[in-house]
Amino acid sequence: MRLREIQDRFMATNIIIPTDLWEEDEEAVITTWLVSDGASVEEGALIAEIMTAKVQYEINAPASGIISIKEAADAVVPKGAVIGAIS
Amino acid sequence: MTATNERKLTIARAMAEAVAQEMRIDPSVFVMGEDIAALGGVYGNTRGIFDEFVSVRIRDTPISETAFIGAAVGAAQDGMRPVVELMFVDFFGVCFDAIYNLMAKNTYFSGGSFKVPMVLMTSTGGGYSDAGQHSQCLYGTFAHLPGMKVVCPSNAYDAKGLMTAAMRDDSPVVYMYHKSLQGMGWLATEPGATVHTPEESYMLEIGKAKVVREGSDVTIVSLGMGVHHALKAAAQMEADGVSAEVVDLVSLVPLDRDTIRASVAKTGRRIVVDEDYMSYGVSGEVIASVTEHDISVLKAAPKRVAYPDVPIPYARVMEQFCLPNPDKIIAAYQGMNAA
Amino acid sequence: MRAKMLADGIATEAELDAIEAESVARVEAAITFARESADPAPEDALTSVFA
Repeated sequence: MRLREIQDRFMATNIIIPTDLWEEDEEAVITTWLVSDGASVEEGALIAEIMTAKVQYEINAPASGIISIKEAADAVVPKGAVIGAIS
Repeated sequence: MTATNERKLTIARAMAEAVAQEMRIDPSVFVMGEDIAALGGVYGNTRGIFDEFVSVRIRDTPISETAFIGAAVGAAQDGMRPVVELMFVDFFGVCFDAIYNLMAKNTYFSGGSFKVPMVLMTSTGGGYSDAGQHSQCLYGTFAHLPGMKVVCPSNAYDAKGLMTAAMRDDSPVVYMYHKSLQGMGWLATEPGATVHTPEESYMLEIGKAKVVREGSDVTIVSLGMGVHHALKAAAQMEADGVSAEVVDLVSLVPLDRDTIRASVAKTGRRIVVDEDYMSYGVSGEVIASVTEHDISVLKAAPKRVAYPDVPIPYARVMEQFCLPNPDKIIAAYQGMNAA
Repeated sequence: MRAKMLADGIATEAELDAIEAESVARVEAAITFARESADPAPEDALTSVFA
């Protein structure tokens, strides 16, 4: 039980900008967060919208739990960036 | 503090969700417009509908507003419930006969025998240098002519409820959505418009205004993007000890004059914020609604923060000079008291 | 329009003639109804704006 508690505390799931959505190395802007910091989310739910120069993409929750937002709306993020975590 | 089951939607998503949900239960609802099918609309307000319904019930049209809006009028009179998009309200000129002479008047001309239950959704608003033919609001133009209801959501919750109500209304409804509130990536979005929206279908009453912020010193009346300017101004005024009440009109036709009058009776002062041209429009109508009703409640002359009577300029500094903003609202209040 | 519908095989002469005849009959009936009806009340001007 103790080990599980420790694991839960440190093994939050990161929300990462996927590296395979677009080909070039251009960065994206987080245009909208569709949940508030601290809200409870379900795995698969739509949680944010990001945009490169031409195209808008959707970001879905990789796990269920409480979301902690690390990059706010309007932040410019590269591929692979961690924009939040769910624990 | 956690917000459980929170589900924020942008206005564009809220509109698309309302339409999809209604299409699932009412086979007479169909969608037409330019780029609204596979692309999901240039403002994203029909996203996902083509994937779900395909072909006949959601169709891209040629760039001929006269043709497809006229077709929508005919379809509506024949028992369908079309949702048709006029991509920019500025384009109304080419199809206005179908809108104000047919859609708006056929019920009256037929003594109620013909119904025209269609929704005409159209984008309004500027502020991003799209110039004089792509940035107008034209609220006054549509509200002035009898026979069509006009609604203007300021946030996603209202947007979904109004769209469902519009689709179920047997009268034609002009649904005017502001581009800066949609949630489009290519255009900065006012975050205050993206709010929690229930997943189930629901309706908002068309013709009912809302007091979105209570106050006692002055009433600020607006619609669409103007509501967000008013809320920001009110927050700043509060820091200076002024209590501002903000009224979101939500609908222009029918106009909820009672709510406006009740609010001004309470505060005694009113500022109307209108991104449409100042003269002969919404701001004048809101002011007249109070003045002709009861002037004994007034503590000061009304103020309007409205777009000047000029075509919208392209140069960014010129356009920003003309647009309403929170600073102008605060200055208007100060001008009221100084007088 | 009539010529195109015939050329494209959308309708036959007989069908188009029937549509025309029905339209004429409906208009004549409407005219008769209007002529035989009483004048509306002036206040009726404010009704039937919306469904």
